[in-house]
Amino acid sequence: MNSKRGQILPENVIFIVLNLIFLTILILFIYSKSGGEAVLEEKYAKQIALIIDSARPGMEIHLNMEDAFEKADKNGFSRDKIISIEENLVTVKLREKGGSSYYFFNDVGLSVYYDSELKKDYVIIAGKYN
Amino acid sequence: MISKNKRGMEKIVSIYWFAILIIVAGGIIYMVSIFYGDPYDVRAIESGILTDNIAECLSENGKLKYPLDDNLKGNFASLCHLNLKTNEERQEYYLEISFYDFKTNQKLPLEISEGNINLKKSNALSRYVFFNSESFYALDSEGKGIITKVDISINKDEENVK
Repeated sequence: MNSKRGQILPENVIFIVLNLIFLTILILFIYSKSGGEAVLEEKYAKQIALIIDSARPGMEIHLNMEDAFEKADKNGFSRDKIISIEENLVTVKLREKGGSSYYFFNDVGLSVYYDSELKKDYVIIAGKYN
Repeated sequence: MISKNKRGMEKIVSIYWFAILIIVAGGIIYMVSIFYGDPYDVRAIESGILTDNIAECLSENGKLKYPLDDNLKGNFASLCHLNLKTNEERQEYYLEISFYDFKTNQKLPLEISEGNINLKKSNALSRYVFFNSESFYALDSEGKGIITKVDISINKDEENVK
């Protein structure tokens, strides 16, 4: 009788496993939503536009974008093409289809490049006013 | 008497349990989608930076850098290195700068405005337009106290609200 009390029913095991699967799916969903390409693209486009708005001629800004590089590498997208600036519009792309853009108002000359030596930064250099 | 197997099966197939799971999952998915689906609204920061840039452009060491005349009005954007064009059919910014005598609080005749007039607080039709107003004190060339009021409207609703 005593040995029977310690037995675990297979139905209970299935019940617990199903619950764990359910929780895992939920956690994966939240993780995928919070760290998705679209969220990162929007975050960096706005962050860079605001940095440029605050920039003064002669400033050199190093922006750590390791999380974005990981996503771009996963999508087979070149790191050199992640940030592009056309007139006063900054665009961040981490995949072929998609991307996020944001306008800035500071009329400063800009050059932007991927730091291929450190491999974790993008460098934004504010030149003279246009 | 209910057997142990039957009790276990009851737990797995219980309709109430599945209903709870669906409600919890639906709630979490809805909340996460709402939170991450909405864009970050950065217009408050943007308008703060724009006001700082204008204040830095118009004044230096507490004194106005330029005489308050039509030359300042006509060349304001180029003097302050602002590019408010957004390459779209509509412009997304509007700014209005007015000057007041510190002692009398009387409005001075010069008023500078740039950008899309439809975004002015009194004209704006959209409820999504962001407004901000800030003032700063500076002395003019004659040593008279001047309050400079900067009103900013930023639309950019698609990038920040919708």
